[in-house]
Amino acid sequence: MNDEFELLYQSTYTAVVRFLYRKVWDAERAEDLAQEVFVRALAHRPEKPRAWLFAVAANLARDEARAAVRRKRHLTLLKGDPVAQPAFEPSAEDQVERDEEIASVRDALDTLTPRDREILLLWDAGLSYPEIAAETGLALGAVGTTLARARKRLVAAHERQQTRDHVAHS
Amino acid sequence: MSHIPEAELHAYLDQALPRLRCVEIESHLAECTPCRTARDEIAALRDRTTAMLARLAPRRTVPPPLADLRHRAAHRASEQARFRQRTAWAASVVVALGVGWGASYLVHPLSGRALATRTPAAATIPAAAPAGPPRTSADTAAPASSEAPADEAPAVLAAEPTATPPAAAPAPKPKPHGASRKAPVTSPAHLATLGGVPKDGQLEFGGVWRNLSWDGAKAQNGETPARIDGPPVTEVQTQAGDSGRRPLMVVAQQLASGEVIRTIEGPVSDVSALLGTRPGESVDSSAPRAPVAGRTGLGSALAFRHGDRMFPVTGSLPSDSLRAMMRRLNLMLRVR
Repeated sequence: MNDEFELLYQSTYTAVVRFLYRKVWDAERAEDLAQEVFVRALAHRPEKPRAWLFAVAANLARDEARAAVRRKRHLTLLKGDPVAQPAFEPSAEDQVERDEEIASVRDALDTLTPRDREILLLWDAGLSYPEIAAETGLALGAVGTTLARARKRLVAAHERQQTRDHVAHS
Repeated sequence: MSHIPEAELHAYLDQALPRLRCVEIESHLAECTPCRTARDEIAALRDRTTAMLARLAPRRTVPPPLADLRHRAAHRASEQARFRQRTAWAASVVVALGVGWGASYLVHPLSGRALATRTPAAATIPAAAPAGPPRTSADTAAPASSEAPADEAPAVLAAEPTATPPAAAPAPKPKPHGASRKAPVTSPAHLATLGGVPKDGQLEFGGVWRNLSWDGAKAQNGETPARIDGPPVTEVQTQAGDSGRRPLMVVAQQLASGEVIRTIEGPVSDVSALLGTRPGESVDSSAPRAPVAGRTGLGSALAFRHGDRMFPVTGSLPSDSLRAMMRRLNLMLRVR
């Protein structure tokens, strides 16, 4: 049992952190919440741990968002927040470009409906269609439809964003 | 065969379809150019979203040692167990108190109801109380009674202060006239607020204190309980004595100034212990005619002795005021 959990922990921890990061937009907070998820899993020992981990992570992220709204804290986009660092040190110009690209993707993601965004992120976190259906309450057959719509909308929103940026810079 | 729905192509590329369905789709794709084109577009869309989302990732994370998380989980579990234990303990105390109160109410429903519905009129005692005959019981209860004068003249003694006054024994707060009150059963611990602690530890008051209505107190006492003539009675408490002995009774009255004075009535030994003196310790065998003041946990006290019974009046008043109060003690009036 302990070995199984260790395996699950090692294989899922990063995915849970990433999933949380895309919701709270704070790397340290995402790690804190991910650890909290696994501490709770140790106490509860869920039967379907993988889906359970992401369900709890989603709930914690929602609580975090509500708390942030209550505190009226404005979470600035990734400012000073280290993201997937490349192996080499980018130049200042490259860094600005990278930050703009990240901001653009995040804005595109924010245009999705909460349901579409949730399913897209769960799929990207590695959950299977049945797990996504169980987690979100969606019919199994509707997962593919929702994913298709979410992907198209994300790309479309990103292209609109890039077009706007291009016009603004020119 | 019709074209493959878009959502199914997504599921196919996401490897979310049964193997049999995958074989059917692959057969169709081999023959259908539009579906192949659609599949390629969806594959590109899928790859693009994956690449976009990959940019929204925190820095490379390293899982902390699982042992740390296990330690946190164990610590939290023990905290929760401790919290549950405390909650259960507190709940059991509340239940026990509730059961005790309920049982007391069932055993003494009259006194409980009477006090719970006390009205200002009921709290004000008529000034003229019927004077009972002087008691002539043999003076055998108190060890010092042999030295005390006989019944024909009331002896006066002083309730002396305890050598070490009881710590943290706040005097009861004055209660508003005629306030509607429940009938609490006071524990022996509350006794400390009524009087001193036995000085030598030999005398102990067992049982519980019980609130009575004024009528209930008269019925229990067989006559009007000792009290100061005039001020309204705000509280009557009694403690059962041994069988055959009249109980200890404390009558609280509130003066216009808000001060509360208490007249205690009971066997010499019990009252002495309540005030923190040994029975007879402070008895003046020469029996001065005027009361002598002492200090108790309740403030000043003046005691009036009649046979084997003692009647101290206590209150946070100057000795002169207390002496004036003492003169209005109904028992003193009726034995003179």
